Amino acid sequence: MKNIRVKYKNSLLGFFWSILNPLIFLLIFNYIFGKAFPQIQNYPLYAVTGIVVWTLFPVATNAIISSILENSGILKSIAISPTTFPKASLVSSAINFYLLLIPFTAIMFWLGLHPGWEALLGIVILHIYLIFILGLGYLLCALNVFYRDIGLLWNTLMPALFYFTPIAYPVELIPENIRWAMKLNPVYFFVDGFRKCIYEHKVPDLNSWLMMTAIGFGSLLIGYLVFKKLQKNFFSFY
Amino acid sequence: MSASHIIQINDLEFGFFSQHNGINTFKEMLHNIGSKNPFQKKQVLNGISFQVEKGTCFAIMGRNGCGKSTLLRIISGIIQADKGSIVVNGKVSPLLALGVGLEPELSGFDNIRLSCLLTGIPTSSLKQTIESVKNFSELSEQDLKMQIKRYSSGMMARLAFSIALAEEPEILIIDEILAVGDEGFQNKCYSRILELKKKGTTILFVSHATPDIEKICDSGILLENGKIIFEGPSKDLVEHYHQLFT
Repeated sequence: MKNIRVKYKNSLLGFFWSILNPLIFLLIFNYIFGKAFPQIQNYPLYAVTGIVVWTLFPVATNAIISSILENSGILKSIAISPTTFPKASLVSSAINFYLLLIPFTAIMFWLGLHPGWEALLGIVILHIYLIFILGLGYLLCALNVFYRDIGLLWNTLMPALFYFTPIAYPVELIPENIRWAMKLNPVYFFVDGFRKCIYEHKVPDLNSWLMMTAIGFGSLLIGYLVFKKLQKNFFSFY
Repeated sequence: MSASHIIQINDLEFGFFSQHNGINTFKEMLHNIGSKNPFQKKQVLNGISFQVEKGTCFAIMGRNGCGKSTLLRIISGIIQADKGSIVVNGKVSPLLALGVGLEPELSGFDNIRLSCLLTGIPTSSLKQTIESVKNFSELSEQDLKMQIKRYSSGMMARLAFSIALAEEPEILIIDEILAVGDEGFQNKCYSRILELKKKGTTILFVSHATPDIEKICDSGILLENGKIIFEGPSKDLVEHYHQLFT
């Protein structure tokens, strides 16, 4: 809660800024790529399902990465578990995201969405996605305390990862022989799963459910263990 | 351990990591691959042992950078010691040095709420806490609505000290926080400290103001290079402290 308040304390448009960013992407994609992929039925809806899932990723990971350093003052003065701050950042990013979903659901309806019962699975996928983000955030956040350029590097990688994820283009565009590389990108599974539920009205197959669950909980486990292991020495690096 | 000792510390050791070769970034670390461990330990506290009796006021003195604040942080559980045992029987107040632990972007009121939330004060008594902080700090409604980045250091100290006092902790830590308050507030704080002491609160007091130490504290320790070089009643303590600088 505190995070949300601080973030928008000084900005007049407040919450609407966070809507603006994905909205701009949506407009750009529609006008520029809209004609490029005639094989995709209802391209705007295809793009928006990808953009929505993606939007959470950079915002939430960055919030978690900087959470420990931003709250170092509190950590220096009150005996409180450092894990509180990554968790708080995730929760505030998630709340922000839920709020963001309201206008975007409206946009999706306007673009011709007819949600089936599969849409409920889409919501489940988003929550596994949140778990994945928390785990990844723990890991990066802990490392960032020791080496500040982890956070900067992460920001530099972000656009690359964005275009590496099939958000604006169909997966089929990637040549068959290097499509395996796509599967190295964990965000791909969540974008793909969510899109299947919302856009294709299909239930993702067992394989992709297993992948998403493994990525989600695997990342949480690794991230949490690394964070716990390193947190004892955070103090020397604030 | 006898029942009257609220804090008991045995052979405590603690060191910070410091980075040699000025390695601060991952890039520099890559350049230095193959060299030894980039992090070196700098010993801050070395074999500290002492006890504090319940209901007393205990002074911790020493030069700047001798490890006083580090010791307080270990006692309040913010950092873990490398070696040694530490037993603390009671709730420790938040350690609010000047402005540290307060969020500059939030208002005074929000900071009180935040501290309450983080120290686990139930929301039912929140209103009462805010009221007592407001009364004690003598900050006006208008001041408390202001973002605290616009506070003067004295106002900050008033707020921080009032928050630390609000919940009547069993162990109160005062880390040079009173130095910037004006005379009126300082006197108010001292009478409050004495009042709490009568009620049985244990106080750990860090200060360089020797008259205050003599006035408030019963006994204390003097640190030098991470070791205790003197332990005893406050009058002798102050004398030893003066000798450090002659």
